[in-house]
Amino acid sequence: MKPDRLTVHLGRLTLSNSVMTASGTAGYGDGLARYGDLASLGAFVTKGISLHPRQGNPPPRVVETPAGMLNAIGLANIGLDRFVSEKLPKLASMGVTVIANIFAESMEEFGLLAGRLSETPGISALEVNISCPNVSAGGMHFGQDPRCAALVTQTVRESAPHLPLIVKLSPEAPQIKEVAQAVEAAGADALCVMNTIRGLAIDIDTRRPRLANVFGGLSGPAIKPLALRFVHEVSRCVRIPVVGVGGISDWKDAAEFILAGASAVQVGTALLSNPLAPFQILEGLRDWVDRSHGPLSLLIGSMKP
Amino acid sequence: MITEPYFQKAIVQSNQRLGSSYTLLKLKVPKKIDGLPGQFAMLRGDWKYSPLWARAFSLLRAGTTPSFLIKLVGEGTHRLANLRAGDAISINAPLGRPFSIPARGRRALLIAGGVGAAPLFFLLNHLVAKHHTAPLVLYGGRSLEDLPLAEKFSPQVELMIMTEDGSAGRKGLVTSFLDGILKDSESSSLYACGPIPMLKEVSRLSRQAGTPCEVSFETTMACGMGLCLGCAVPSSRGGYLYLCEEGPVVNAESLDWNRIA
Repeated sequence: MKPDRLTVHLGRLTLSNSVMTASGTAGYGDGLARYGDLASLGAFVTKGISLHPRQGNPPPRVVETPAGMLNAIGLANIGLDRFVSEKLPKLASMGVTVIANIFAESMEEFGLLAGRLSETPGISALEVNISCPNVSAGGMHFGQDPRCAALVTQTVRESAPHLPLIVKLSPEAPQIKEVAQAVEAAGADALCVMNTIRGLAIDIDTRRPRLANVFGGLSGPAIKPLALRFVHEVSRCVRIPVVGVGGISDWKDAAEFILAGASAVQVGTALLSNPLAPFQILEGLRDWVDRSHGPLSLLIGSMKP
Repeated sequence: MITEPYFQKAIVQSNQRLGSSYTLLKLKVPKKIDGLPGQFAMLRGDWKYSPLWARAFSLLRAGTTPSFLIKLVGEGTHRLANLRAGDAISINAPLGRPFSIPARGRRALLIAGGVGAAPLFFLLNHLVAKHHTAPLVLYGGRSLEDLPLAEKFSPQVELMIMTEDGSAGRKGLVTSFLDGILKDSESSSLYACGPIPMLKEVSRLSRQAGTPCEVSFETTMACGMGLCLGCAVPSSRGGYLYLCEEGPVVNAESLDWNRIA
């Protein structure tokens, strides 16, 4: 990889630039690849993959809210085998840097998943979801408790020792800084801050919740200030890099996350209404870095007091 | 042939109010949209965060000046209805699966309920242009107000108008006449778009008569392009199908109507 001003290091993972897709907002890449060159992004993060396929939650699964949305997809996915046989080869043939997002309902499953993916060519890193708000088992509860989060990290680390490891944190952990430090100590290469936060929307005519799952993860511009705060706090209490995510819609939002302490950013909800968003954000960041006359690395966490 | 969707900035060419609750939005796009009847577009005005999502609309017409029939329902459709000629708008199209065109000699029966007339109007014009057997159209709504396309149908088409309040055409539901029509017409293909109770009844009658039936279905869509998996609809094979990519036009048999409220 030719180093340039946008090159970023996330522990052992080196990316050509800081812009990625956020897990669950662009499937396995084939849909988004119709609109832009996924290989031009720092990385493509897959929809969460589990050992076995999952149907997901009953509808309605999504609802629009002020400057945001709630989703309760329920981690619907095609499972590890089909991902590896059908989806990964397409991404690999396009030259995409693939980060596989994984989740499981038990430590054993996390180990099996990580082990299988570590033997699979074409995966650049793993992103571990310990923070999904929409499933009863295997989601957020792993991310609530520092010891539990560390155990998941350690399990994945040992099962896939050669793959760089990003752990995606929940904003709902009572002590997110403690979880972050525990995950760092357990061997994560980087942290992803943050997943969605649970919200509720009610139809006043039927008096029913708008989502079949009742609660859903809030995302979009509505959560940007919250995500920025967590990126700021977490990046100052750990030595490993932080990937910022939450409501990034344009390059200015991305720049705020870099200034707050993020080494890289993920774009999610914004690309649902504008599939060009991650590509446009990358161009904007490139211009911003060029105007600042230094590599992007010098801008990370450079917010002035 | 289905072409890849394209996301582009377009300009509003005209936005013509049809009665109090519909508008006919016509755009001018830099890159031609090779859309087929039944396919749809995601439209979003040039606003910042509200509403956040683009909105899905069936193509009424494709090409370089695609048009859309929009029923004013909520904030998104009202904002779109307020756009004026020259305003910027983004369009992502063509998306989804189109209607399958009936074999030569098969007569198309088109059942349209309210704003559901839009994709069928496109299909109808396609069939007429390609000299297919003259289709029969059943077009119904609550009242005359809900039939904004009634005047726009080609005179070559056999058109039956029905309203629930009797303000235009015959009084009753579109489906109340369908049973008899299906018994009298052999080798026909049904195409339907409208409210869910109508589609349920059409699919029941088509199954009973052994007539192939495609419906253009609707559900909440966040992205419309297969990214979010938000538009899950109960499938007759168990589980769900994703309407943005596996629809919006589906075989009536592929939906599990018992799980659709």
